[in-house]
Amino acid sequence: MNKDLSIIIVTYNNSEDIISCLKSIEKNIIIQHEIIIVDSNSSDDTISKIKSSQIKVLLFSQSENIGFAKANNFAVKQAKGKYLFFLNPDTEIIDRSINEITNLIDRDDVGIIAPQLIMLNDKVQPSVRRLPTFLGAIKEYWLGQKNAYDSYVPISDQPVEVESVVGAAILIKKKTFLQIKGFDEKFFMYFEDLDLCHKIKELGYKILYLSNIQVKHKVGSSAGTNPKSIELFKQSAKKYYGFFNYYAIQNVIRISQIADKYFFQIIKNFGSIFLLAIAIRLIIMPFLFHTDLKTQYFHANLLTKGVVNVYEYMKVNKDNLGFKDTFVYPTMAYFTLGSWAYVTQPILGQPFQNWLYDWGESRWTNPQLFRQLFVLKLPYLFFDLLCGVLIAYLVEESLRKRALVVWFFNPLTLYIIYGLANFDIIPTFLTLFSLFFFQKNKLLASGLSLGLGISLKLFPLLLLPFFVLSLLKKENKRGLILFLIGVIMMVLLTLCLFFQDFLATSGSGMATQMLIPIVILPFNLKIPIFYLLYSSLLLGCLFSKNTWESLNVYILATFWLVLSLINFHPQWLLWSLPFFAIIITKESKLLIQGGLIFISFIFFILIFEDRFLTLGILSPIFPNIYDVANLEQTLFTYIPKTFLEITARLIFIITILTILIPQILMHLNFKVGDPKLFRSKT
Amino acid sequence: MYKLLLLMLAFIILFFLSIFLLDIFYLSHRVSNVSQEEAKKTTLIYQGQEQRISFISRFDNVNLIYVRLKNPERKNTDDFYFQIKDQSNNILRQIDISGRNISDDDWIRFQFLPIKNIKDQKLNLSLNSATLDQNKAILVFTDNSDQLVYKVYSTDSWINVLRRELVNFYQRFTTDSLFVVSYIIINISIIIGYLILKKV
Repeated sequence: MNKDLSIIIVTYNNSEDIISCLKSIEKNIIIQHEIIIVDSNSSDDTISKIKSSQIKVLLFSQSENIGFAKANNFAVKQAKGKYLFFLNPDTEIIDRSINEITNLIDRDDVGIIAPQLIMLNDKVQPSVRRLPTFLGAIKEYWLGQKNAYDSYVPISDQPVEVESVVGAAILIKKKTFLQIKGFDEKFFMYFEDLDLCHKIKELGYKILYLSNIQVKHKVGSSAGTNPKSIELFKQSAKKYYGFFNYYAIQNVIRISQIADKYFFQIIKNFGSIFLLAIAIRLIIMPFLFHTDLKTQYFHANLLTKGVVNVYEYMKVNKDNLGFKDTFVYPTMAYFTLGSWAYVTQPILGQPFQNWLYDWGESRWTNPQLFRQLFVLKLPYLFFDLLCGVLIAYLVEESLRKRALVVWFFNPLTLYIIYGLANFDIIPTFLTLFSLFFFQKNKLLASGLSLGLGISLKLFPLLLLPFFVLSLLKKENKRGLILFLIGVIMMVLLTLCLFFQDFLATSGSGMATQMLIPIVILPFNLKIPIFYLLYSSLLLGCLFSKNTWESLNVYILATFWLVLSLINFHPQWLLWSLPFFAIIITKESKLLIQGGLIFISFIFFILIFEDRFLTLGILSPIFPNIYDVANLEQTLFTYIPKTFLEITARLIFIITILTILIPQILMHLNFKVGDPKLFRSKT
Repeated sequence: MYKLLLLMLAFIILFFLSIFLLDIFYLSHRVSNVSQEEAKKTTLIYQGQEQRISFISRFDNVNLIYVRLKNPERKNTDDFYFQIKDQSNNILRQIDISGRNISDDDWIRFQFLPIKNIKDQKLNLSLNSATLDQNKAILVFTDNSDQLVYKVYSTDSWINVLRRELVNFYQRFTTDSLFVVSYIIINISIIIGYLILKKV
C-alpha cells in the first residue's frame, strides 16, 4: 500500500522553531513523505534558515500574510501525498512511533487522526474538546460537568474517538480534506481546526486521538499572547459561534469566573459558616409569618394572571377582591415578586391561590401553609447569602470570617428577612453591590446596581448624591458619567413602566413623611429637619476622605437618619445592617452599640402595635395567638406608650450618634480643631 | 471568633425562644373555648329586654368573654349588666359596667375569676341594661337566627396548652407530606455537610 505523506507547515516568523521541527521530521519520519512549507511573509530570517538547513522542502513564500487557513489550503494544492499531515512550526516529532499514525487513517470511517501533544514542561497538552456550544459552556461552567466545553486530555492507551482536536498536528486523507473543501478561509487564524472537525463529524467520519503517539508542542510560541493574536482569536471566535452565541458563551464563562472568584472561594474557605447559616435560615423559614409577605404576594400573584399594570387593576377591581390595599412599590418590585410567583406556580399550585384570597381563620389550616412560607422566602435567602459574601469581600481578608459571623448570625437580620419577609433585602443587596463595584472602580456596574435598587424601592435614591460627590472628589469624570448612565438606564426602565400610576398610589410614603419634622429658624423660616441634617451629611461627605469606607459611613448615616427622624419602620432597619456589619467587623467594641440598637428595635416593634411583629410572628405554629395575644396592650397598662416611644428613640439616637460621630470624624479630610485648618481659613 | 459565634447563636435562640414562651404564656391565659362570630344583624338591649345565649364550655376555668356591642353615638350612659349563670340559673359571675364604656361597635371584654369545674357543662350568658328609653338602647350583634355574637376563653396550664398546640401544629405540618420529607432531607443534608466540614 502506498503510504505517501505530505507534511504541511505554515510559518510566520518562526525562525526559532522551524529548524528543530524540520530536523525532527527528517530524523523520525521514515515513511515516504514530502515537506511543504508556506511562509506567510515572515519578517524574520525564517526563510533563510529553512534554505540553509539543507533539508529538502518545497518552500512557498507569500508576498503577504494570507492567514493560516488560506496558506494551508494553498499548500494542499501543491501536495502530492495521499495523506496530509498538518504540523505547526513549533512542534517536534519526538520518536519514530509517529510512523504508525498512518495505520489507522486508511479505515473508511476515520476522518482525522491526532497524536498526543506534549508541552515544553513535559505535561500533556489538553488538545481535545467537545465541539463547543452554548449549552456545553453552561454544563461546564455552571453545572460543573467536566470536559463539556473546555479542552481536556483523554485517558486511554487505545485510540479514543473524540469530537475535535487541536490542529497543531493532525493527519487527514487528502480525499477527505478536499471533500470538505479544506479549511474555511473565513478564519484568518484560530478556529479553522474546530471548523474542520465539525465538518468531518457532519460527514460521519470519526476523529481519533492517539495517546501512544506523541508530538512535542511549544504551546503559544507560534502565535503568542500579544494583543493582535487575542484580537484575531476574538474575530475567529465570533465567526465560528456567531455574534450572539459568542457573547452568550463569553458571559457564561465570565459569570462563572466572577462567581468562582467572589462566591465559591468564600464558600470554600468558610463553608461551615455558610452551611450553619443556611441551616438556621431553612429551619425557621416556614414557621415565621408576617402579613406583609401575603399582601405583597397577593399583588405579585396578579402577574401570573396576566395583569401588567397592577396599580390600575387594583384601582378598578379592589371592591371585588379579598384584599383592597393598592400596591405601593415601583413596578420592578411587582415584576420581580410576580416572576417568582410565576416560577413557583408548579410547586405551590392551587392551595397557594386559595391562601392568597383567604383572610379568615382557615388561612392557618391551608394544607400547604408551611411550603408556601418556605418557597416564597427562598429568593430572600439567596440575596441574604450574597450580602454575606459581599460584606466579607469588602473587609480585609483577615476579618472575613468575623464579617460572615456578624452578618449571618445577627438575630435582627434573621427576624427582618425571614420574619417580616419584606423584599427589602433585594434593594439592600443591590445598594451593597453598588458600593462593592464602587470599591472595585467598576462604575457602570455600580450605577446599574444602584439604579436597579431604586427601581425596586425608592430608598437607595437617597444615596445617589453621596456616590456622585465621591466621584466628583475623585475627579473621575468618565467614571461619573458611566455611573450616572447606569443609574439613569435602570431608573428610566422604571419610569417607563406605569410610573404615573405608581406615584398616584404611594403619596403617603417616605418622601412625604420627610417633610413633616420641621425646625423653625429666625424669621419664621421653616426647614424640614431631615433635609437640614441630610444636607449636613452631604457637606460632610464633601470634606471626607475619598474612600469607599467613607462612603459606607455616609450610607449608614443616611439610613439611620431616616429611621430617627422619619419613621422607624422595623423592616427599614435592614437597609442599614450590611453597612453597619462592615463597620462592626472592623471595630469589635461596637458590638455593645449593636446590642443597644437591638434593644431599641424591640421597643420600636412593641410601640408599632402590629401584633404580627411580636407574638403573632409565630402564628404558623400557634394559629390562635393572633386572636388572643396582645402583648402591647398588656405592656401599655404598665408602661405608657409615649414613655416607651421616647425611650426607644433616645436609646437609638444616642447609640447611633456614638457610632457615627467618631466614624465621620475619622473619615474627615482634616482634624477638627487643627490650628493649621483655622489659620488656613483665616 | 468561636466565642462571638456562640454569643450570637445564643442571642438568636434566646430571641426566638422568648417569643415562643410568651406565646405559650398568653395562650395558656386565653384558651379559645367557644364562639359565635357571625354578625348579621343587631338586637336591642334595654330594661325588660334581656338578651341571652347558652353554650357548653369545652374547657374548665372560663375567665373571659367578649361580646360585640354597639352604643350608637355613645348615647347610652346607663348601667349595663353582664351575668354568667349555671344550668339552675344561679349567678356565677356578674359584671356591671357603664354604657360609657361601650363604643359604637366594639368587642367588649368581660374578664372575671375563672369558673372552675365547668368542662362540658352548660352556661347561660345574659346581657341586660338599666336603660328604659329604647332609643338609647345598647345593641348586640347576632347572626340570622338571633344567636349572640360572642367569644369565650378559658385559662389552662401552660403544659396542657403546649401539648395541645404542638399536637395541632404537628397535624397541620404533616398534612403536606411531600414538603415535610423534602424539608427534613434538605436540613439533615445541610447539617451533615456542616458537621463534615467542621471535622475537616
